[in-house]
Order: sequence, then structure tokens, then C-alpha cells
Amino acid sequence: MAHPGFFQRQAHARRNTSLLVFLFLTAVAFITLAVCLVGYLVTRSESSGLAFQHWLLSNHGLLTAVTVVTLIVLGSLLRWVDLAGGGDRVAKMVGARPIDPDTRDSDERKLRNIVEEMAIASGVSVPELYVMDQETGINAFVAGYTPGEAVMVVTHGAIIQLSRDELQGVVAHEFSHIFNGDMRLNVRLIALLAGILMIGQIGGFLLRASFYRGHRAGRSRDGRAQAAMGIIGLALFVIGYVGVFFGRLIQAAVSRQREMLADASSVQFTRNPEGIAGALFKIGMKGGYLDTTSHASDMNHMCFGESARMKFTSLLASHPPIDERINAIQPGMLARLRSRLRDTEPGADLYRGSAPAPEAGAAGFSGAASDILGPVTGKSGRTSPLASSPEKAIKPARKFSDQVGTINRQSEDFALRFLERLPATFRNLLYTRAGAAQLCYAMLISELPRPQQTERLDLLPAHPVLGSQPDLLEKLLPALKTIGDGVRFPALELAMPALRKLDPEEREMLITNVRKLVAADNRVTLFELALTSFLSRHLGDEAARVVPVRYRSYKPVMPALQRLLSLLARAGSTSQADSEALYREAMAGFMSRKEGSEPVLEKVTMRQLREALTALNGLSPLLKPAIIDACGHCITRDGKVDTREYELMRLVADQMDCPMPPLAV
Amino acid sequence: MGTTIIGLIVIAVVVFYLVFIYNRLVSLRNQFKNGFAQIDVQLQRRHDLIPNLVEAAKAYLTHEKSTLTQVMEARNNAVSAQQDAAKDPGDGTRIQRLGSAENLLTKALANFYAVAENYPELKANETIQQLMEELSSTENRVAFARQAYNDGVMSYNIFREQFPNNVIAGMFAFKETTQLELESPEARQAPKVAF
Repeated sequence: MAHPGFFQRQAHARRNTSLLVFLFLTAVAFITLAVCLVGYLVTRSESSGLAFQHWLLSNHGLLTAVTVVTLIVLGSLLRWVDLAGGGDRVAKMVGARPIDPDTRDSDERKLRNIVEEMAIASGVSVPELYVMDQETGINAFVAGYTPGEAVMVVTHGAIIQLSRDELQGVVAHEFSHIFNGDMRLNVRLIALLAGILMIGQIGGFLLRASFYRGHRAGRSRDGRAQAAMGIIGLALFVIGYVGVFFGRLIQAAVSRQREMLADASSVQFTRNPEGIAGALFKIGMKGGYLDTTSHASDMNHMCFGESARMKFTSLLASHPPIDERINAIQPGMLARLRSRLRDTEPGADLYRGSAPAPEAGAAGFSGAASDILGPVTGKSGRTSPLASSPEKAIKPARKFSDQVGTINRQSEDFALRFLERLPATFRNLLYTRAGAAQLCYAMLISELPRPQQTERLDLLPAHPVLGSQPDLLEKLLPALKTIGDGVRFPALELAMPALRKLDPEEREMLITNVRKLVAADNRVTLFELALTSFLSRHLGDEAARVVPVRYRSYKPVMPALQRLLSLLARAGSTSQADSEALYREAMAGFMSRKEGSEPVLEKVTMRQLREALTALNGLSPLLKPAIIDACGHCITRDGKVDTREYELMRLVADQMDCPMPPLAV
Repeated sequence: MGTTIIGLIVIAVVVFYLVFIYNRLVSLRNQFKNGFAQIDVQLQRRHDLIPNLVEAAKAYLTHEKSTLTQVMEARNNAVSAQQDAAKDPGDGTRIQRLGSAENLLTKALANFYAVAENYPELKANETIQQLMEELSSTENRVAFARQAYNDGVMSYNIFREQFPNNVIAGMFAFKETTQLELESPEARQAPKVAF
């Protein structure tokens, strides 16, 4: 056996469960006894002073006991009927969507395969499979009273954020809940709790009734009976709620034991402790809270990780702490996962928002700057460091390291801080299709006053994913305001994977919707232009289109080039003289010395800019890098790149079909 | 009268306990049997998927004919070995032959994956990607079925040998079962599809 211990851990968890269930039943018995004691004390004067144990066996006592037990059973049954239905009801309740058995979507196919594999490994029949599309947290749960009617619900976040092995670990964990009958156990415990609660509720009712009657008719004949009723009510109230409190504690403890059992079984089914441990680790970092359902706290005990964030004490937590779970799976695993994260984080996680490493981008710009400052002949034939891969771009970075030092540090800091600056809910939202689409809309309307926002959103046709969704926008808009303009494009890039998941028709619709919002006020800002061209470049039909080469020299596009570089020169400098100089530097590469350079243009409209860029895109691919370099030179000259410059650069690169490196903002 | 009632209760408890043990033995035995049936089903599935994969890959691997024929030959061998073994599942040598045929098939597939690595268009093909996922999933299933069988056999044997279960097991002829041994260590691992 590769990892001795999981069978023992299972046995251990099972033993603990039995103990706790025994404790729970004892508690129920004590509650019954306590209620009988109340009955005894109240009726003592009438039942001729028998001792408690004798009274208990008399008719009075037996009647009281039977009544109490009936009440508990009745309360339990009511709740039980409510809970023990098929799991599909629960799945519908949380708004999950069933996955078709022969789905064509590759992610769903993978999940289905994993579930079928685990069904074989655990010997349980395949449950019905549901996915929560809107949910970005990593979580999963099973519902259903018997294995035959079990359903498994997995969040979208789990499907896209976990690797195949990790997802397998999660699914195996859920299978253990089915296999070991945990849903049944839980339903029974909850039902019993409801029964105990009923005693407390009856007590509360009696208490209130006695007060009410006491106030209305304070006749002396009723006085004694009312006082008795009040005392009984109070006693039942206290017993019921104290019982529920301790019942909850025990139930939570049982739930924690079952989680440990399921973790151990997950290792048994997959024989791969790394899978489940990795999934737990990711949950520990990103959270598995269910944000889109109001039933999160009801579902808590069924979920893979904690689903609600309201826990105030570890005694009531339905899941053991994640660290403890990981180390139970394999001692030392947590430390190993942490060190692995440290090794991969800078490359994989922190820079995820911006495809190549920012360092390379900054380096590329410095390279460009030096090229333009130096001799320019023969330059157009060379591949731009901007367009080339990061590895190539690193060389100039070393060469001009003194020059780029500031930018480098900035971009490094930026990348490290970027994800931290995004609130977790906001970030998770970007990984869902609906959230990503709403982000596009939110960015376009975030500056507007409230009534105007709704007015704009009414322009959008209704659609389950792409229509305006006020609840999602409600989360996005404030977040966008607080984190500032600087992260608009990085955030958009984070959302790209989700947007790419849209069907071609849906993509088309998204772009149309965005265009509608942009056109609503009859004027186009730089950001709006950048956003639309970014979307149509990455999602539109044009994405795959090949641009015919129309110009093989700079001459025919000179006016367009002038416009573009004037705009950039003014954006990249503070004073008029400064911009003049910058413009001349930038233009130097594109005209022969003889031609007198024209002054920097004062005003360039968005429309002109767009036309200019369309014209420039007709250039031969070999001529484009020099333009990108010149633009880069303009905006990095003062050693920093502000939001406006960044968006301009982004726009230029997208319109000219050149890859865009991220920049420090 | 009191003693008779107590006696009856004790007898009832004992009978219930015995029934419980018997039922548990039956369910444990069926659990591992299901694992065994799954192995066969999943091997069949694997054999069915491979011709599809080869067919889809043919268009891209015009210069790698030998790799593809190797895979197909190994697959056909495995199919005949499987049919052979199905005739008499108790025969050890036939099962062993099936094991080695499956191993050869796994090796041929690994070779195919390595070759495919050099053809980016092949890797990008959606049909091929899907087939790869199905195939690696099937390989997982074979492994899991085997593992489930062995786990099932283990818990069955443990339960069977404990007291007083062993008495019941002896009375109703619940025999001890042995675990499936793997023919070779590499059969333990499904090939990593590094796409």
C-alpha cells in the first residue's frame, strides 16, 4: 500500500462517529428526562408526593414521557420529510444546471469522466451530475437520501481552477459521502435537532401565551394556572434551546469526523494524496464559499469545504481546519505544497493576469528606446522585442539594465500587488462567463451616475448570460471604483479565459452589446475605443482574419503615422516643447533627413485615430514593429506609464494586430 | 414470566445480529465482484476507442505509418487475448496473456503519444483531444476497477475472518478470495498523456 494509514484513519473516523452518535442519542434521552422532571415538579402537589423515579413509572409520568417522545419524533419527521427528498430538488434549489451525459464541452466531459472513474473506484453507481455555472469558489457537494437518488453538484470554479488530479480528489471525497451514507446520517441528525428545537418552540409559545393572557385578564382564579403555564413554558424553552445548542455541537463534530473519513476515502479511491491535498490547498488560498446562493449555510455540512463565511467558533464548524485536513492526509504535505507554491507563484499565479512577464515588457520598451535613440537604419527588418517572446526580450534588459531599473521594479511591484489589490469576490467573478461579460459592461458605465447606468443597461437585450445582471453589476461597480482605472485592462485580461468560453454567437452578441453601450452617448472615449478593439481582436470574427498587406513603405501612411505619434508624444510628455522634441525623435525613423519635420499636431480626434490605425494596419508586417517601438518610446520616456498611456498602447497594438506586452501602471 | 421475556429479547437480538452479519457478507462479496466485471467492460472500451484515435490521427501522421500500425497490431492482439480470457476466466495463463497484451498496447500508445508530440496540428485537433481524454479516462478506469476489486476483496476477507463472522461465513460457504496481482509494475501506471 503506497500510503499506509488511510484505512486506519477511516476506521478511526468511523469509531468517533459512533461515539458521537451515541452521545447525541444520550442527549435526546436526557432532554426527555428533563422535560419529565419539569412535569413532575409542576404536578407534584397533586400526585401525592411520590419520588421522581416512582412518578416516572406512574401513569402521569409515562404519559409525559410518551408526549415528549412523540413531540420530538413529530418534529423530526416533519423536518425529515422536508430533507429526505431526492437530491435533484436540492440541486435545483441552489440553481445548478444538470450536465448532459454525452456533453460535448471538453471541461464537462472531463468532469463526467472523472465522476465515472470514481464511481468505479468506489463501487457506487454514477450520481446525477450538476454544475453551478455562476459559482467561482471551489466547492462541491452531494445531496440525496440514498445512493440511488444522489446528485453531485460541482461549482464552475472547481472545474476550471483545479487540475484533473485535484478535481478527481474532490469528486472522490464526495463519493465517500455517498458510499458511507453521510447524507443519511446528516439528515437524521438534523431531523432530531429539529425535534428538540420543537420542544423549545412549544415552550416559547407557552411562555408568550401566558404573558398575553396574564395581561388581558388578570383574574385571580386563572392566576395560578397561568403562572404554572409560564414556568412550564420557560423550562421547556430553556431545555429545548440548551438541547439544540449541544445537539449542534455534536452534529458539527460528527460532520467533521465524516469529512476526515471522506478525505481518507478520497485517498483510498484515487491512491493519490496529492490530488485532494492540492484541491484543499487551493481552497485554503482562494476560498470555497458559495456566493450566489442563499442556501450556503444550509448546505454547509454537505460541501467539500466550508460554504458559508459566518462561522464564529471552531466548535460549530462543519469541516476541520484545512491545514489539519491536509496534514491528516499526509504529514508534511502542507509544507511541501507551500514550498511548491513559492517556486511557481511568480511565474504562474501572480502574473496570470498579464500573459508574458511584465519584466519582459519593460525590457522590450527599454530596448525600443535605445534603438530609436541610436542609429535607425535597417531597423525595420528586425523583430521588435515587443512582439518577440519574453526570453528574447530579456537580453536587452540586461544590456540596458541601468536604464530600465526603475521601470523594472515598478512592474515587478505592480505584478505582485495587482492580484492582492483585487478583492477576492471581484477576482472570482471574472472567472465566470457571466461575471466576465458583466465586467465589460460595468467598465463602460462605471463613471456614470446611477439613473443613467440603468438607462444604459436597458439597451441590452435579455439573455441568461449576456443580458445585464444587476446583482453581479452590484458587486463589480463599487470594486471598479475603488481599485481605479489602472487595473481595467489587467482585469479584462483576467476575464479573457472566461470570455473565450462563449460560443461564437454569444461572442458576437457581447461585442454588439458593448458597441451599443459605447454608442449610447454619441461620443467615443479612448478607453471605449480600446475596449471595443480589444474585444473584437480577441473574440470577434476578425480574430482569425488575415489583413491584406496594402502598403510596403511608410510614405503612403505618413499622415496616419503623424497623427498617431503626435497623440502619443503629447500623452508621453508634460510640456509643449517636450512633446515637440519627443515627436521629432519618434518620427525620425520614418522620414529621410531632407524632409522638414512637421510640428506636432494639436488635436487628434478619436475618429481620426481609428482611421489612422486602420491605415497603419495595412502596412507590411515587417514595417509594423518600428511603429510599435516608436509608440513605446513615447510613452515610456518619462520613466512611467500611466493608465491613459497604457490604454493607448493597448489600442495601438490591438488595432495593428501585434501582441501587447503588459506595462507597469 | 419476566425471565421468558428477557430470554425472548436476547434471542431476537442474536438472530438480528446473525442476519446482519450474513447480509453484510453478501453485500461485500457483490461489491468486489462488481469491480471485477468493470475491468472487462473498461478493457473493451479501451479497445473500441483506439481505432477511432488511429483513424483521426492518420490524416496528420502520413509519415508515421509504422507507429500507427504498431498501435493497431497491439490492439488486435489485446482484443483476441481478451476474447480468449473471457472463455475461461479462471485460467491463470490466459489472464496472464491478456495482461502482457495490454502492456504491449500501453507501450505502443506511449510511443504514439511521443510521436504525436511533434505534430502541433494533431495536438490542436479537437476530436483527437477528446479521444485522448476518453482514452486516458478509460485507462484510469481499468486501474480503478482493479483497485476497487482489491479493496473490496480486502474488506471482504477482513470481515469474513473476524469473530463471530467467521462462523457464519463457514456455515454459508463464503470463501476466502485472493487479490488480483499485477503482471508487471508498469501496468500499475496509466501512461501520462503529456499534452
